[in-house]
Amino acid sequence: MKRKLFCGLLMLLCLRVVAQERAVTGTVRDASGSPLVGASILVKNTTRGTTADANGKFSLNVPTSSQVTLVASIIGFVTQEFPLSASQTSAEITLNEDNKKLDELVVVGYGTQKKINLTGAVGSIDAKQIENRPVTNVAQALQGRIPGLLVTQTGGQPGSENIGLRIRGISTLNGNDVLVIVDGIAMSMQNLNPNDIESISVLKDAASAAIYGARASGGVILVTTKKGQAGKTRVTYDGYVGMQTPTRMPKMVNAYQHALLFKEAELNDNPNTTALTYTDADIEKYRTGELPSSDRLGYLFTSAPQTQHNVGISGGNETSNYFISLGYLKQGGIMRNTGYERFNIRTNNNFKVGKRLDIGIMTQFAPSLQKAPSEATFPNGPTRALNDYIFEAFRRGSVYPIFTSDGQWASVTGWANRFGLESEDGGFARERLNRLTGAINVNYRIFDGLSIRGIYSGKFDQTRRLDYSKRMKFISPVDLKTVDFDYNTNSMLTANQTNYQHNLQLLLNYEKTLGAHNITLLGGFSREWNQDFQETVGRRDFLTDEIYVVNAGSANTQTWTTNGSASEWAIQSFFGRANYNYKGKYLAEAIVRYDGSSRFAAPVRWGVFPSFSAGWRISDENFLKDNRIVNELKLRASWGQVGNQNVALYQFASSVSTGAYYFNGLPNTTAFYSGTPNPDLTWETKRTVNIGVDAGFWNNKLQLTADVFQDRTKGILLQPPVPDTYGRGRVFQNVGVVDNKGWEIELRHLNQIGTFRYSVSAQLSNARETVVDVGGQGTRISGSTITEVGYGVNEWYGWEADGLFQTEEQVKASPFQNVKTGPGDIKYVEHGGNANTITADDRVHLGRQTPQYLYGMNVNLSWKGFDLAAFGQGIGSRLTYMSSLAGWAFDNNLASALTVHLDRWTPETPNATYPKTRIGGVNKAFSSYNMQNSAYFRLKNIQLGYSLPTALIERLKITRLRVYVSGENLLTFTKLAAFDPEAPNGSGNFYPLNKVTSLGLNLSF
Amino acid sequence: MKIFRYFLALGLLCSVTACQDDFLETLPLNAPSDKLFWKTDQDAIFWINQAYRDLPGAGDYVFNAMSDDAYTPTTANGVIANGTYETTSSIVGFKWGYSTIRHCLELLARIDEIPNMSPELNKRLKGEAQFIIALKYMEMTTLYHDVPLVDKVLPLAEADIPKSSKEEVVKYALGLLDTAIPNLPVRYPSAADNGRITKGAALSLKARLLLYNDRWAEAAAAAKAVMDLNEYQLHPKFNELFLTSFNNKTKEVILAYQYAQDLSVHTLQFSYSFYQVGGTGASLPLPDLVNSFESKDGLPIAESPLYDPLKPFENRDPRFAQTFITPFEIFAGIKYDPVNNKDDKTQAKTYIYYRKYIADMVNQQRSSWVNWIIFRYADVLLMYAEAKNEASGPDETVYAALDQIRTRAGMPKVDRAKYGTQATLRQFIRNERRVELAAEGLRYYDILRWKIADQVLNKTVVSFTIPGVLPLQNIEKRVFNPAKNYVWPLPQTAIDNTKNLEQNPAWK
Repeated sequence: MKRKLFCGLLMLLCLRVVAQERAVTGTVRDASGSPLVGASILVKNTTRGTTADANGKFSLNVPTSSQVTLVASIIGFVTQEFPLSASQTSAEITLNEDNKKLDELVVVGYGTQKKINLTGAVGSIDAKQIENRPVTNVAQALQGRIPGLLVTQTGGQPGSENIGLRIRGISTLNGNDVLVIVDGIAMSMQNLNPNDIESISVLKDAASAAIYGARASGGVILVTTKKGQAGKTRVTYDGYVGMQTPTRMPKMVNAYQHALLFKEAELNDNPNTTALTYTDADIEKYRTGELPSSDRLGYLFTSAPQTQHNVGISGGNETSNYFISLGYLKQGGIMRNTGYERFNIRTNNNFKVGKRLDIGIMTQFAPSLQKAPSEATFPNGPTRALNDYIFEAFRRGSVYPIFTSDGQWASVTGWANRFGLESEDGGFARERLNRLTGAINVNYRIFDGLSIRGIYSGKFDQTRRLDYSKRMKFISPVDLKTVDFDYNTNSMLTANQTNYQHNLQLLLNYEKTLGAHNITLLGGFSREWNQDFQETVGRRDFLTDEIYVVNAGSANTQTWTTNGSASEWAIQSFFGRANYNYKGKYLAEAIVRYDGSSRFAAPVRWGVFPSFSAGWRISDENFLKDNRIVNELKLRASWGQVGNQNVALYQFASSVSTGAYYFNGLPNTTAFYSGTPNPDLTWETKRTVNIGVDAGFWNNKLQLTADVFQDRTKGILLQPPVPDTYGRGRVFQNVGVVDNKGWEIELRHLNQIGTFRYSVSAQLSNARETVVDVGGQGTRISGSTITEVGYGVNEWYGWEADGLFQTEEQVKASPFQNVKTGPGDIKYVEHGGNANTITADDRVHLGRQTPQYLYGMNVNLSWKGFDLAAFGQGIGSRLTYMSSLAGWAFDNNLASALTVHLDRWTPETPNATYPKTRIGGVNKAFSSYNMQNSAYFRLKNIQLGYSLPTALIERLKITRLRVYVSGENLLTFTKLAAFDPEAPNGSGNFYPLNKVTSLGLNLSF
Repeated sequence: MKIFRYFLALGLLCSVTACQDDFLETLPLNAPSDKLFWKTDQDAIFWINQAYRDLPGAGDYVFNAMSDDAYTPTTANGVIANGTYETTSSIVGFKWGYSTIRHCLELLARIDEIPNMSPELNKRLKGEAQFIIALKYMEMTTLYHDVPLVDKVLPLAEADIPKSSKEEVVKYALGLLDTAIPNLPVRYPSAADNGRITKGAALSLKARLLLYNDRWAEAAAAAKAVMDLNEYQLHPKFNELFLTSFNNKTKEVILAYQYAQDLSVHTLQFSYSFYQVGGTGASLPLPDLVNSFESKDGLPIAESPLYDPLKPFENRDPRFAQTFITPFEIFAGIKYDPVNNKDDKTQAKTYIYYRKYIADMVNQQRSSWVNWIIFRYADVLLMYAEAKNEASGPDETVYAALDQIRTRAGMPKVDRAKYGTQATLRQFIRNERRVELAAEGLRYYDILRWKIADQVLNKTVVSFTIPGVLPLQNIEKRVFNPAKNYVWPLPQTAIDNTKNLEQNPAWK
């Protein structure tokens, strides 16, 4: 305080002494003409200066007499000197972006580091790469952006996008989720507003992740939200309206094709059968259209709007700054009766109290409402999970009408029509998630260089779900009056879930520079605990379908359902980090973390996770300094160890669960062991070696980052198969060793030619795992996958197919397969065991499951007010197994076929893609015939924007006005039959991903 | 500096509490841990109750269509009868029951820890556990023959055991039953215990296990022991045995899987009924079964003057109408019409449906709770007759047992002259067993042990037919390879999960 007063006084004095002054006004802009808010303008060789306001404008008094030079600077731009002539009173300053970005900061665990000082493998993106994309979940925006990060989206239901994150392939046998930390709190990215994101860092190697110890083996993603900046209040609006359609959808055969194919299949199964489901007369009626054909997929999946609006207010002064953001998202569902709405309210405020104390407060309230079809049913009623509804579109053919000819809900196979149950006539589910997060952050500078920081952060989730199923009648489409299925039991389930998460951190930071030696130390303590409670109550037989409270249901207690459960976990940690660098040239870092987790029993609860890393900035050495080509070159190397505690809770204890059996028709409690305990269970440990290089060429016009890594995971937390004779479930054990090797490369090229600026970047990565030890029973076969030493994790395992049989002779000459095998059926290859028969012994490895070669490409162009950004992403190789309804025609006697299945073997079409159509079990066993390569390239986003010239909008006090059109998931290239290439393995009943075209506006003043 | 002191205090507090591990001590909030269990009588009773959930229930109806009794269009279960099943077919795991066995063995191992339990209760509960273990081994040895014999709670490291011979496993199961029989009550004093395992149930299981292993004299003795209990008798009306309102109300049922309205229900009505009333036709009786019902004069239809192929459903054994739904009948208020109703026609490949177990169904009923019978007295009488005839040929006790069943059914007594030899009586008993126990899921076991499956399952199955009314439909070609299909393969997953378990030789 004293020092500041003194300075102020001094300045005042100066003003008094120099009587003659003139005012200089001006604007600081970037090359595209956008104002640079907060740029600092100094009079060279003085302490006199100011900052540019929200419009990039500044005003400054300078001495009249002498020639002065202004120095304009802002992070991320090359500092520029601007000489003023003696009489000049205005200064239009343009700053060029600094490609070197020496000051660029990257968020790392419990702090930030200069990017040039990093020694580990850290990827990061900033707000610009997320902005204006119609993504509803932040994780979607990460796809294809960071080398080594695999983002898979396996379902697009608004509000519950199924997004899987995986950093650097597979390093374990069981699963190690990425640890996501949002502003210091470990939590999911759910309900996070993409507009609030300042930056995202991905900690890839053990050296950078070790500070998160026991939970870091899957890598760590750090999300940081925006803060206010000193300067005038700035108001921004960002919003778009868009339309969504499903990406790549299969097509079902029409009714005529269905009937024809079904008859063919019945005859293929039993050549002499006369009990045919469709007579020739029926088939003819389908052909002529006398009998209707329904478009089931077309009914269920349609287009839907999506819109987001966001208002941000930020500003501040020397002692405080603030950021306030209000967001609203509304996303219709491309599947009927689904949708999502969300509000986001966030404030991030920081205060200085005196000289030594900083206080930061962050709060977020994010209520959301997800609309979905009802999933409530009654015992032996139709199954009504979301997947059942989607399944329904595939599992029944076009021969089944959705509505009767007079518009009533038609019965399907004399049974309920799940499209009816899915619709609003069938009921609804409403799930509200109220997420409240907050953090208070107190930093105290004890003396210069030493500070202590205390942080409390908390998350409170309240979820309330109301699911109501209505009564319905399904009418015979034949006579239009018979009630084929009377869904006369309505029911309601209400579920409440409360989740509390608390995190307490205490950090001690010390920074010291001694000559050329720079030292930074961090010591910390953290405690985190989580409690979860949930209750569900339900009743049936409501008098009307209009009242949605439990008490309105039947008083018959036998039909009531009540459930309640609770769980808790805790983790406690001590950690420290030391950074040292000599002249910024030689860099070293050491980290240790000591973690204790409630998931394990006391004797095996604590684990130590150390790491070391070093860097050498060769470009600062004399022999490379001022090199014309290479302007930046850094080598990095790291070694570290991280843990994985990814097991269900309470695996150390054997617990007794209860159920019921009904002697004489009345309930009697039953008891049994649930789960199989292992009191010796502890962490799995992954150690990683990483070597990387960062390089810049031609003044950073070309930048390269490359990493190679190798890791070994030991004591893998795994539930290896147990012999059935054990009689209990699989038990978690620390067994198995997996090696994982990979590399990542990223190239960026930035350039400016006059007013035309462009940047191109591309990244490619791959990781390949090898099982070194499986433990337990050895080779682990689980259905159609195998985990065996020397191979990848969960490789596909089954019969190898050798095309299709063409003649009876070929069938006879080959090992016996099945009594019904004939021409047109899949031929399997004999590999051992009984040479006369195809048996389980003939199963072989059929390839890796892990996607290989992830890549992304990015192009940004700007010219005057126009900007164009295109971003594509893909996978070089992935073996997908589409099974049952999605894999072959007529998975069962009530199923149908896709149009791709029309390309099937018949004596006339011996070279068809699919085998002879069957209803029975033949050709449906898992084999290489069903494997497909779902490699793809997808134009993830393309965006064209236009910013109105400043001169035009200045009068309206607007600093920025940009309009844009954007297309998400517009183009996809793949060879996968019928389905979206991101489809998960299985029967295709996942919520489709969406294609979004939108029109947006960015406004700030 | 004051604030610094607070920080210091907070830091100290944290590190002090950190030393206490209590913060990380979280016990399951949901369920009691094992440490608190095996303390009271109630714990053991709850424990054995769980094992009842694994008794054979209504799901066993799928066995009908594995035999020559019925056809199923359902791909997953149809593979057994048509011979297309593989080691990986899911149906092959249907009766693989080691988790139930483990659960029961846990009780045998731990029950003695419970303080102050009366010896009677202790023995009874052990008896219930022993019964269920024996039942599981009976099912497994009948289908898979040699299986691993787990006779105690195995630690994981010792659980990968090879197969034991069928004889050895049967011997173990019989030993369990012999221990259990004297300890189980003839009846439970409270009706609340209806459905619990009794001495009669254990004796019946013993009889069935011996019968399935061709140990005729012993089987006859075990069945006789049930008869001598004087606890059971045939229920006067055959059809009432399979009505929901008679759950636990007859003196004939010895053991049944207990269902309860709303709480524990099954869907046999879907599987057994026709399209228009909401059925799926998952188990359609074949002409073979239909034609095995005699005319009411006690003669097979081929011999009976009362049989008219144009009116084949008339003048039949009274059990015929109580077992089947035939075309053009009104059932659950709806006329079953496989000729004029397109939906009925498509589904009714054989034209005949089962009525047994669903006779009291109402149109579109979606759940039923009629108990599934595991043992009933008629079965005991039939087992006695069969075993005694095989052991020592026809005698009056054999005829008397059969006559009881015939009389209750409303049929003439056994024609002693016609069925006077062991061989002729054997055929009669086998037919009577098929007719009396139709739709009860036992026929498949019978054709396996009688070794007649290679004859009865090696043919093209066709529909029923009435000339001019119901055209003959050719349904499916079935193949039964006697070298292979008399024994099920062990489930492939069971093999894949172990090192020491070998597939049955025929399936390698």
